[in-house]
Amino acid sequence: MTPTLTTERLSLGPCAEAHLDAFTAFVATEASRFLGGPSEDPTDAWWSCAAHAGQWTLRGYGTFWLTDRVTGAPVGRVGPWHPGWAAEPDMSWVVYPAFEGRGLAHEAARAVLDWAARERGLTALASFVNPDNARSLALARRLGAREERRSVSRDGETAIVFRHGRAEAA
Amino acid sequence: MTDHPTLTTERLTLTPPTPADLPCYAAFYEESDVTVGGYRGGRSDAEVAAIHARDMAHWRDHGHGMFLIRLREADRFVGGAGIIYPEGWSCHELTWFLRPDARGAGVATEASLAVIAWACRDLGWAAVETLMRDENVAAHRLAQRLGGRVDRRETFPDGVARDVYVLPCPEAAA
Repeated sequence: MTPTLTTERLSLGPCAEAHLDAFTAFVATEASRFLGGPSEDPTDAWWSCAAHAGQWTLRGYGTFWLTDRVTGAPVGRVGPWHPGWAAEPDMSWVVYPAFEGRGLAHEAARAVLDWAARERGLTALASFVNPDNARSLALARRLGAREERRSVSRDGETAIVFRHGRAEAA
Repeated sequence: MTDHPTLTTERLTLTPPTPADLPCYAAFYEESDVTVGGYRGGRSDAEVAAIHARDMAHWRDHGHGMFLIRLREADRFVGGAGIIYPEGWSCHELTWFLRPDARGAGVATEASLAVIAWACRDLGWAAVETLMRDENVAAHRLAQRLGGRVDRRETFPDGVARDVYVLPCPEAAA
């Protein structure tokens, strides 16, 4: 099951009902375009949350849902997403637009990378970033990840593959 | 390693993509009416350039890959056919694409047979595989015309389950 991590401003843990509601609202907006959105269908968000929860059971690691420790507001989702058909996990991050620009994604990603390395031996996670996603590219670099290659999938979608290292840019 | 082989059929010439072939990719993706998968249209110049670069790099990394198809008489670019390993996938596949006005004339069949024969003869392969979405009826038909039979069904890295066809080598090469 999803453990709970605590950072200066955030609590990271399993998907609670408030997270599901916030995520459902998020995927209905254009802000979700780098996650395959937008989608008006609320079942998409439910299936996504269920799959992310299920990954913990199947693999023993997964993504964490972010909560503002002061207000209790759902903030986003961060962690290694690794569906059954993917060759390796994708260390991914989503922070809802209202919480952008405060370094919260960085704070959460740093905590999750440290946890993954320490508790699961995942010391060289990759992040697959859309080259048009400027915020995400900036975060990968700020986390000290190194640009490994440009990947063009079978479907012709381009991703920049970043490789995270241990104890860099702490 | 077979560097830049040229295949010739009755009507077609097939060559691996070179840096000078970017306009071919631009023309195809500009015209493409496909809405899903690797051959869908509506892409930015950067995306098209990345696909072109991917296909050239594939030849360097694997010694085989996508061929561009030209009509011999008109010297006109009409599409592509080749054998690729999609990144992160477990198997290779024969794949092809045609400009809309080049369809229905047997070009994909003629090009595919040449690619299969080349793989059997020059790469020493025992068979070539191909796969497609269930709804891609034209691709299923082509695989069957090429003598293919469904070998298995697999779920691929994009989460989509597809039939995998084995396409036999020509008799003479066996």
